[in-house]
Amino acid sequence: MSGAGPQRSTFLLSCLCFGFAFLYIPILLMIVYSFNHSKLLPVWGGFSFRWYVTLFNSPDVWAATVLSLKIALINATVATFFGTLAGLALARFTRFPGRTLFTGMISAPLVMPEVITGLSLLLLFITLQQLIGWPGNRGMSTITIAHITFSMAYIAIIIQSRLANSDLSLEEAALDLGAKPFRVMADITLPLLAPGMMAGWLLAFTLSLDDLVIASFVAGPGSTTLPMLIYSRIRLGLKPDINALATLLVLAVAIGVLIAGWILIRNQRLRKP
Amino acid sequence: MTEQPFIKVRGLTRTFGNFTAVDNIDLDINRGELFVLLGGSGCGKTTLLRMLAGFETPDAGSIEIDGADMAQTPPYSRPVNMMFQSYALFPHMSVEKNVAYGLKRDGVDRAQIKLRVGEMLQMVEMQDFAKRKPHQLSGGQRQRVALARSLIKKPKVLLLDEPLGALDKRLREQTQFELMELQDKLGTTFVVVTHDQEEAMTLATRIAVMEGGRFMQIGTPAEVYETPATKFVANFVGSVNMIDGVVTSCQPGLVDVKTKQGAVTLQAQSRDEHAVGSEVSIAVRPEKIIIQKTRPETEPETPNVLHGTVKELAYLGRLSTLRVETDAGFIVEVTSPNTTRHSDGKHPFEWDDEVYISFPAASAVVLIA
Ligand SMILES: Nc1ncnc2c1ncn2[C@@H]1O[C@H](COP(=O)(O)OP(=O)(O)OP(=O)(O)O)[C@@H](O)[C@H]1O
Ligand SMILES: [Mg+2]
Repeated sequence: MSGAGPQRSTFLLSCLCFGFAFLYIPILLMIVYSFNHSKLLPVWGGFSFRWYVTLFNSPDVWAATVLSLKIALINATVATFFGTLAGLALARFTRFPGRTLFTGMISAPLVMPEVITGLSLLLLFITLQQLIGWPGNRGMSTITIAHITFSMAYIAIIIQSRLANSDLSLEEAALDLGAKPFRVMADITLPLLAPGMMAGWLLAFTLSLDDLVIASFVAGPGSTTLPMLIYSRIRLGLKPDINALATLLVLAVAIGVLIAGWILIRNQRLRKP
Repeated sequence: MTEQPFIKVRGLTRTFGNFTAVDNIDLDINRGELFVLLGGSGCGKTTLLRMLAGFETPDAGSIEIDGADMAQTPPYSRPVNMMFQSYALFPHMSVEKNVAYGLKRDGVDRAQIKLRVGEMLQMVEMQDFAKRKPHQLSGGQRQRVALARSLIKKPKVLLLDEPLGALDKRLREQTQFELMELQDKLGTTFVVVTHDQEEAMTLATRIAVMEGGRFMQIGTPAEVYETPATKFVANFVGSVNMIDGVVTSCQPGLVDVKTKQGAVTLQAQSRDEHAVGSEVSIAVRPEKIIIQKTRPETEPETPNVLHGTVKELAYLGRLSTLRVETDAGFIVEVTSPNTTRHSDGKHPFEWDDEVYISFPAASAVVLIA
């Protein structure tokens, strides 16, 4: 057994390296080519910001970026609000009938194929349009609503797990010192949840920013989000400015994820004395 | 005129599913008492305390505090504060803010809050740590903050769930006395939960020994120690020699018991009547037994003199514990104070020494088997 140890670990290590290479080399390649002066993809024509300049001068890229950011902002904020409420309800108001069912259902959007989510939401919007005349035409509002539905599920689960691991006696101590339940929520529960909510907000923001499938289903004419723009451009052939755009997107997502992780880890350290 | 009990509990019951955690408990606690609930793990101490604080709804029974029924009173309106076993300090607030929280919720004005928080921190000697967050404090310091926070509203009753559980032995002993001093100074009624019998004896004006959701005995530390009501109490509070036997005669105040092992007759004082032939146990505390190398010169008819050999010996510094196997066959534990210094490492008793052990009938208690 003891002889197998180092051997196995070299094997595992190479697996790991290979896996990481597989994951990140394409992204690295894309980033490198975004700085390529040459128009032809496989030819390295020297370092330049040329494609970034092209990007900044194209109005449809700007329109798509603004739309995506707007949707991501509204989505993250609304989803954090409702997701937190849902998480609180699931973790704290323990004994209501069908709680297990609700807990299971809230995680369904996480495992549901995006195609299904997109399709069913599209059906919902069409039905609504026929019944109550809203939404008149699909676009930013429908994409935002669609994003809120699945982002909320993520946030509810983050909040619920934070609450499940947290010490109930903190809230009891506040009650004991004369705080009414709403006060306890405002003074104790929400401040303790704040890091979770911030992380959730960032997660929802990035999820929304890079969603292509669901947005494609519920978008209407004239509402092209950034991922949709990239996808449609690619179909017309690989162009280096798209590399630049994607690189910026990767940067935005990476920063979001890093900050979310940092908030969660820092807070865990603070709470474990 | 007899004073009404300050806390009056009647028929209090709490079940979880089909498990009864607190079983039909009656309890009277007087104003200004330092009342200790003592019992093993899972016997329902915390559950009882939580019902007093209002976090747990009783299935049956009533709680009255200072004459007012508590059934409809939510935790935030009860004249009771609790110090939690985990301290439950708010991690996102400084020491100062933690302590001020209760006053803030009562709408006390700022200047007043500042003053009282300052005084309270002074009292628990934490004034230099006011700006720190709980995670920057040691266990003992956290305990003081928790105590300050639960006392700041001047509650009528302070409930403490294992307040010293997280402290090491030295700090614990020191804090016990501080707690008693504080209680004396404030005159607040304290209800303390502990599973440590020494701590209970040190702190309490009265102790309730709990087992399986019921009270086995309620009394002063001396009563509980010297005249335990049941075998459980005798065993739980301090160590004890339990010798099983059958009653052979019962004169007023004195009971003769023939031991099961060895059939020697032992005598014990008892206030109760015991039928001849009934099975009982004689309980004697190890420190009440006299151990000698020669037969003690007592009246010949004194029965509680047994001959035996030392089988085990443990030197504990201040005293030694010896286990003596009597000729009758049963083992008796004896503690003997080390009153003289034996720097040569020699003890007055050694393994396999022949000894006589004896105890007066007044030192023994008869317990129903
Ligand atoms: N919420 C609950 N649901 C089910 N059972 C519970 C609950 N709370 C307590 N119990 C049970 O009730 C019994 C008494 O619990 P309690 O916490 O009062 O014990 P305790 O005397 O405080 O013990 P310890 O010294 O270990 O703290 C235990 O057997 C416990 O398992
Ligand atoms: Mg407990």
